[in-house]
Amino acid sequence: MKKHLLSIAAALSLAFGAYAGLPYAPLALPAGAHHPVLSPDGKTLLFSSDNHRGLKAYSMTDGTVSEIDEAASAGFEPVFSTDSRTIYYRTAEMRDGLLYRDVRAFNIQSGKHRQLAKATREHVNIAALGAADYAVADYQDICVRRNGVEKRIRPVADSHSYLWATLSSEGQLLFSEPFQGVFVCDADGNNAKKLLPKGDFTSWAGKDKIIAVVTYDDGYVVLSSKLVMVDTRTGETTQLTDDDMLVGEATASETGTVIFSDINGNMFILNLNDR
Amino acid sequence: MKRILIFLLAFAAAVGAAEAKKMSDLKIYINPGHGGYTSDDRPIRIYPFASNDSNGYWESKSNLYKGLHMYHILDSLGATPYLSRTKNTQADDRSLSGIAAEANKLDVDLFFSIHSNAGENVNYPLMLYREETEGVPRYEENITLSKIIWQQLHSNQLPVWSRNTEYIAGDLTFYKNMWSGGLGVLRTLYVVGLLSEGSMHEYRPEAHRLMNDDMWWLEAWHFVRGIMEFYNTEDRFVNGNVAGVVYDNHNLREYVMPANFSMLGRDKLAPLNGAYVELLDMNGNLVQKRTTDNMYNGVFVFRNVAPGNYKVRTSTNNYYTEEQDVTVTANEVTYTEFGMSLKREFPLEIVAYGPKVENDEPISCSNVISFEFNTDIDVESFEKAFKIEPDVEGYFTYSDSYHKATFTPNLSLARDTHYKVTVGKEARHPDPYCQNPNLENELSFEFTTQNRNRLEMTECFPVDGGEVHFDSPKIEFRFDNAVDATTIYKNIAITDSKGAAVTVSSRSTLYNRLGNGFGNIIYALASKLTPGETYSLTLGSELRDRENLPMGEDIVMKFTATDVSTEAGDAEVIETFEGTDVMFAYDPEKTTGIGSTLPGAIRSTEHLLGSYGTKLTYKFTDFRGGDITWNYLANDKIFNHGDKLGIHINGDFSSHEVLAILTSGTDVKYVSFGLMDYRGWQYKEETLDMLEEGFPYLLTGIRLVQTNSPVTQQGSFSIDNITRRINGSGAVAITPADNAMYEATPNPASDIVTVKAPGTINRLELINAAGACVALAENTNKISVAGHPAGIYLLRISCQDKPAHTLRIAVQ
Repeated sequence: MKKHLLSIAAALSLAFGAYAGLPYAPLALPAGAHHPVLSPDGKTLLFSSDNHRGLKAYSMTDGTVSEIDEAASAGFEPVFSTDSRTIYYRTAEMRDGLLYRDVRAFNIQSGKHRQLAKATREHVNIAALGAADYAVADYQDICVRRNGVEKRIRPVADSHSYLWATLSSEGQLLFSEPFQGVFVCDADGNNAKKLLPKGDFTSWAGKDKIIAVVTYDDGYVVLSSKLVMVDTRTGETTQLTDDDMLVGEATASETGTVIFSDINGNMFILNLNDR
Repeated sequence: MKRILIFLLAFAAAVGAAEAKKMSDLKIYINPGHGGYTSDDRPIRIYPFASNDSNGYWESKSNLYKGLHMYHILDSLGATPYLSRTKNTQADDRSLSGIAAEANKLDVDLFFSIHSNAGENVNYPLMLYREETEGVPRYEENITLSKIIWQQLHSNQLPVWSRNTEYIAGDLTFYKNMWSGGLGVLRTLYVVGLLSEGSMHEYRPEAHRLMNDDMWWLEAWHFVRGIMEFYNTEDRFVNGNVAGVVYDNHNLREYVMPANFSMLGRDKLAPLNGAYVELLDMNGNLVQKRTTDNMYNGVFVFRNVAPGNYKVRTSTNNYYTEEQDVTVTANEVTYTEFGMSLKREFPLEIVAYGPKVENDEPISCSNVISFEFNTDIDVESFEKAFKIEPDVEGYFTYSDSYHKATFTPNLSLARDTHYKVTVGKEARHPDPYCQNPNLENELSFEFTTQNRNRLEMTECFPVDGGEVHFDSPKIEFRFDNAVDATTIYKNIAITDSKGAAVTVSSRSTLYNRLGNGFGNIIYALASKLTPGETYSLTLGSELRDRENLPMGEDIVMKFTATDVSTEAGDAEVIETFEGTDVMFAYDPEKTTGIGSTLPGAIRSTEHLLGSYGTKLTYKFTDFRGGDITWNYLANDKIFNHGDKLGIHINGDFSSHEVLAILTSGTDVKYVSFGLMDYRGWQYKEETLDMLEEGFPYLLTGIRLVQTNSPVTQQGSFSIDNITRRINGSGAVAITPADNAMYEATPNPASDIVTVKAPGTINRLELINAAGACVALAENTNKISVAGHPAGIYLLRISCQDKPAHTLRIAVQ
């Protein structure tokens, strides 16, 4: 640990394109909202709370908030079905110091829950429940299923691990390697193209647009954290948030809707189509 | 889809209630902090490396190696460990949220972030866990785990700890005064976890230890041992370990950066590089061996030793071989320390001493008695063997690892005294095995001291019972020698009547500003005083001069704060110095005793009232005989017999005399405002009984007459608002009503000036800046200014039955 150097935060200047200046507006969500996940159709936003308990849904059409589950960790990386109607998620409980997680489903239209698997210590890939074609980062591999064929791939040489792997509707794979950056490649892991030197919470925000959160810290505290967009065809990078905003997490849908939080749990929305 | 669900349900059915835990049940994520070699990777400069040398100490490096050891220990026990990084490059600065997300995705049971802490003069572990809100842990298990790990790390006896009470804290609570939101790596973490600050890497001996692979391994072992305890796992370490430190039992640690670093306990002693350490079974067979590294830590660990009894033997060049019996217990660490004795197979010698006198010259009373030995000295025997006659109260200090000893008198040696110093043969070095460790011959030497042994205060402001203006107060002491700056601030104490301390501003305090070898201190107080309040001041006896002689006795005095700005009361202010013009200029014809540095007069923000005053500067060439006149450039201020002239003076404690110059035609009067035996603002007011009755006088200048003194040849003082109290007779000041009735045209003028007045004009006098009447016209309303140097003049108009009136005119 070292004395905190907040002053250097201001000095951090990222080599991104010009600040886009797109308007973003706060969402009327409970304080401390975390872990946003936007449905493929962009109509439902899932989020959790500051203490990581519960899973809630925010209707992007009428602004209502409904509680799906109160359980711990229910809000960590829930998965939508392709038609955006069903949500798959896992809850967590500590049993004598060991972590157990179950698998649950919730249908938005009927409002009904179902437990798909009892709590287990095994890692379960719930992405497989949501879509026929999917990609999911599984530590040192990316698991990709496309056209009924499942593969485990490592698209980047000398990779440590993978995070935030997602397939676009056109079958392009987006992922982050924590030490090498943000990439796109085809579903087989070929033709990897580096989009950013680093980035978290990567998400498709259009057929050829991705977003990512680029954060710098001093090992203890976040000094700078910006939301950026990259055009996957040209590689052009655009900063979407101003320098004063410390972005926490982000999610997007290919409709161009982007949701992001600041590190205090305030959620915001912007639309790339407003450019 | 159906196939997947069936699989999930089938698996869930197979999972029963919680069972006894094995290490193989556990999934643990290890985060060895930041990677790389930049400023946020926490380099600490240690010998022999240059600053930021990647071969030196970096927290990023020691964290990583601890993490790698932890990974391998866990892996060997069948647990499932993960690492957030495996290299130490700048690219390893992955995001904190990415690390937490990876641990969450992996469904680990524990998250372990490995760090060390910043703290230069302390050394202890600190465990930090995530809180939901201040005081509320995210998981109760976080606290249990933190307590266990803290105890484990603190049980490690290779470091020297400065704190022996448990120290765990929630991150929001711990960092609430530093930043909001707690630790970034814990903020979005779902699972039980902590951030371990294992020890203080800024504590330099610890930084040296954290260069050692055995040290890294042992901390990792303690982490895993703590995890076993936390989960109460069935499996524990079946072997034990033997850990220890090898160091010199008498010589002190060298090469510490910074040199004045304070150290704890055994860390003061020199760790031994390259010491050979053997672990032998009871039959004398070698089991394991180690050689301590070259990083000045002396650390060794025999890892994974089967339980039983052993012998540890240490040896290295020039030291006596040492052995200790140890018992190794499974799942434990057996700690040892080897304070090794240096071989000194020769008698003690004193190779140098002081003071050595030549030709019986007396020496300064500030001298210390010093010795240098051929090896390190045994302190106890040396102090018994040392004698100085006549007796002097003092203390011993040692340096260069006891190769040098110094006896320092508490205050000083006595003056005009003949001393004899003796070191008897009982003095020895500390080698317990040497046959002849003592001094072979007694040492004796003599010297005589000079006749000065105290720093003498010669004068001060304020004197005891004196007064000081409350705003920007300054207190000055003067001495017969220049003072030692290092003793200035620890020997001053000022308190108000309630005992509250008044702080001295070290930034604004000045010292040794006098010439000719004299010393002074001008203490500037950090805040305003309270008018009317009485303060106590103590100047400590340990204040020393540059010869290291002390004052010897405290000086204690009292003074009262006043508000000088109100002392003029209702006196008429005739000069405020708030205009943009400089109001004084030195007169070379009336000035003596200066050299090439001319007296100055500037408009200055050094003021008492309003925003500006005038600052007058001077430098005399000798101790005596100087005399400076500054002409007042707005000399239209009239005074008459019996009036009072007041002036605010910011004195420089020079003891020079300040006078006002008043002039009426050819008659010049000097009004003394006394000696400037004060520092800071004072108000001086004098009755002008010396003026000749019936004649108006103009204030035409300020005069400074040098007082014979070797210490104040150069200085400056300021003046602010000048006041007048009219006695009620004779000429009066110009009033606005009067002004309207008098007129001189043209103005500016170069030839004839015509005067309009409210009566018959008897006399017109043209008066220059020096107060001299340079033209006179009687019984006429015209006066010629032709031929006079361009400048500002006064035209004094005398009408029948009216007081004289003065106008200012400009001559071109």
